[in-house]
Amino acid sequence: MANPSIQLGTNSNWAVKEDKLLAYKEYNDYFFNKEFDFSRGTSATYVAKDSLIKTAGIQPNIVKNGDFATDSDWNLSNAAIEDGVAKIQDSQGGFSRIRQNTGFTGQAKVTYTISFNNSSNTTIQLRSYGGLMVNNALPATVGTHTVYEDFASDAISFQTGLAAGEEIHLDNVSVQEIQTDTPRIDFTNDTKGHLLLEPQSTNKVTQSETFSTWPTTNALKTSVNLTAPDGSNSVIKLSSSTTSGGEHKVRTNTDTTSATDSIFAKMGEVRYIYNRRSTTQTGYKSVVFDLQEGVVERNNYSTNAYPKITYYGNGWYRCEVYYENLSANGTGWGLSDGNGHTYNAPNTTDGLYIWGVQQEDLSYATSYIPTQSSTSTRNADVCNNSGSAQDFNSEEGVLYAEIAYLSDTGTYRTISINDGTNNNMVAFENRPVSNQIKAFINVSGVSVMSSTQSLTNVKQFNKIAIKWKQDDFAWWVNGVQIHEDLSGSTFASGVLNKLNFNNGIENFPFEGKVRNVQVFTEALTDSELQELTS
Amino acid sequence: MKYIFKKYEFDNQSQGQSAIDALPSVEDEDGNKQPSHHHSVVDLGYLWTTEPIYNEDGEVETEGVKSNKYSIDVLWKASQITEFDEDGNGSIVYPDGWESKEITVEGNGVHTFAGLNFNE
Repeated sequence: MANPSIQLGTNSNWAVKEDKLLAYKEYNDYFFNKEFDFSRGTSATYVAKDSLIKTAGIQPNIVKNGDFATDSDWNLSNAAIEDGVAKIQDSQGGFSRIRQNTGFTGQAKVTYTISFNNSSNTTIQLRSYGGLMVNNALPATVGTHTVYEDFASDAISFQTGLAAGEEIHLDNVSVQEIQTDTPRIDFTNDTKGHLLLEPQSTNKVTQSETFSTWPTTNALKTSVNLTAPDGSNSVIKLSSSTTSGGEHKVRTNTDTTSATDSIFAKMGEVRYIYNRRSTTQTGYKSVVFDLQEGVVERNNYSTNAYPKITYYGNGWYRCEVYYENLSANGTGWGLSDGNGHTYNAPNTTDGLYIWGVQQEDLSYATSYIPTQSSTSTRNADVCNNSGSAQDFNSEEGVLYAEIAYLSDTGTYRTISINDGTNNNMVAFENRPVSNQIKAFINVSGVSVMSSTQSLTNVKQFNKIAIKWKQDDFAWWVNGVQIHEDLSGSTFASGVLNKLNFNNGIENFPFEGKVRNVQVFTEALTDSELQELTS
Repeated sequence: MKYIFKKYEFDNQSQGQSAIDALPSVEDEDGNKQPSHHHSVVDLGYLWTTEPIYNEDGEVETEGVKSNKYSIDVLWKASQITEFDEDGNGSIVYPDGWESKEITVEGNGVHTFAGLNFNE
C-alpha cells in the first residue's frame, strides 16, 4: 500500500502542544510535520494513559520549596517553616501569611495539602502580589485540595487571620500553568488513545467536588482521604444521617431543560447509587446504578430517561442519565437498596463515595468540567488546517479515518479535505439522523458523488475511507464497499490544500473521537481499501 | 490576548437573541442557522435575584424573583473581532449591539469559562 502523505494517530503516535496537534508524514524513517491548528480557549479535562482525569496543557510546577523541606524561598508573616510544613500562626491582631514570588501570571492549577487545622476557619485566602485577591475562600479543611485560578500578578500568597494557639499547617504547594489551547488525547476505555473533539458544554451545578452548597435529605457529606478519579486525595462519603428508611441524598436545583446528569461514584459499604428527577410523563422516578458490577441495575422511568455507566478505574464509575422533558428543577443522588430511591440505613456510617458531579444540556455526558462557586463552560475544540497543496493529489487519492461520533442528533459533523471552501471537498459527515453517515465529493461546486448509509452504531469506532479519481469514486466502511460512482470528473491539479475537522468553511465541526486519519495521494485498489478499513 | 471574557445584560430575551443571531452563521441544508464563528456564547437567561425555596423533592415552596435583564456571557476569540488600520495596527471591534450592554460583576458571578476568572 502507498505511503500516506498525512497521518494522525497511526500506531498510537500522538503529540500535542499549545495551539497545535502534530500530524505527520513518515518517509524513510523520518517524520515530517503536518500539524493541525488547534484552539479552544478554556481548560478541559481528559483521561490520561494512567486512567486518571487530567487537565490538558498543564505545565511543570513553578513553586520552589513547595514541600517546605527547607526554611527558604517563602516570605513569612506570622508563620514559620518547621517540621517539613508551613505553620500559619497567631495573626497578632493582623494577618498571617506565606508568600512566594513565582514570576507567573495567568491560568493555573493550584494544589496544596492542609495537614493540620485547629482553628474554626474552614477556608483560607489565596492572594497574589500586593495582596490582590485571587480566591477569598480556598478550602482549609484537612486534606489535599486542587483549585483552578487566574493569577493577575506574579506571586502566590496564602493568608488568613488566626487567634493565639490556633495553627493551620500547609504542605505540598504547587502551581502549574494551564495552556488553554492544547488538544486532548483521551484514553477512556481505549488503550490506543484518541483525539477528543467536543462541543461547547456548561456544567450547570456548582461545587462539583465538595458538594458544599448541596442540601441533603437524611444524609451526611463527609470529606474523606481517598484517591479521586483525578488522583487527588479528597472525596465525599455519602452516608445516612438517620437509621431510617426513605431517601438519603444530596440534591440541588437548576432548571427543566433536557439534560444529562452525571457523577463519579465508588462503592463503599453501600453498593447502589440512584439519580432522581421529575419528567413530564412519569414524575419523580429513579435510575439505580450497581457500583459493584458496573451496570445500570434499574431504570424505573418508562420513558424519557436514558442511563449509562462507564468504568474509570480504581473502583470509580461514571454514572449518567440523559433526561428529556423535565418537569421540575431538582436533581438528587442518593443511597439505594438496589430497587429505587429508598434505602434502609442500619447506621450513619455506611455509605459510598462521590466526586465530580455534572449537569449539562446535551444528550450525553462530556469530559468532566470542575466547578466551584460558579457554573463553568468548556469551549468547543477547533482543529483544522493540516497540510498544504503538496500533501494532496487533487486528481486522485483516499481519505481514511477511524472515528466514533459523540452523538448523532442535532447537527452535521464533518471531516474533509478541501480548498478553504465547500465547493471543492472530499468529505464524510454524520447527519442529524440516527447512525447515518454521508460521503460526498464536490468538484467546482458540482456533486460528483453523494451517498448516505446507516451504520450499526456511529458512536462506536468505525473505519471509513473515501476514494476519488476520474470516473472512479467510492467509499468503504469496515471492510465493505458502500457505494461507487464510475463516472464523473475529478479535481484539477493543485486544488485541494487542507485537511479539516469541519466542512472547509469553519462550519459543522466534527464532534467525536479520532483514533486514526490517513491521506493517500493515489486511489487505492479495492483490496487495499478493504484491508485498510477492516 | 487571544480571548476576551465579557458579561452582558440585555433588556429582554428577544434583544439578546437578536445580538446572538447577528453573529456570523451559515445555514445547513435543512435551513437551520449554524454559527460559523469561534466565539463562545453562553445564554444565562433571566437570573435569580432572589432564589426560590425548594422542598426536598425540588418543588418550589416559595417563589423566587428573577432579574428583568437577560444575561449572556461571551468568550470572544480576539482574532475574529480584530480590525486592522492601513498601518497594520489591530484593534478590537465588538459586533454591533454588544458594547452598550456590557456589565461588570464581582468575582465570576454565576458563571465562568473553565480555567478563567472574570475581570482578570
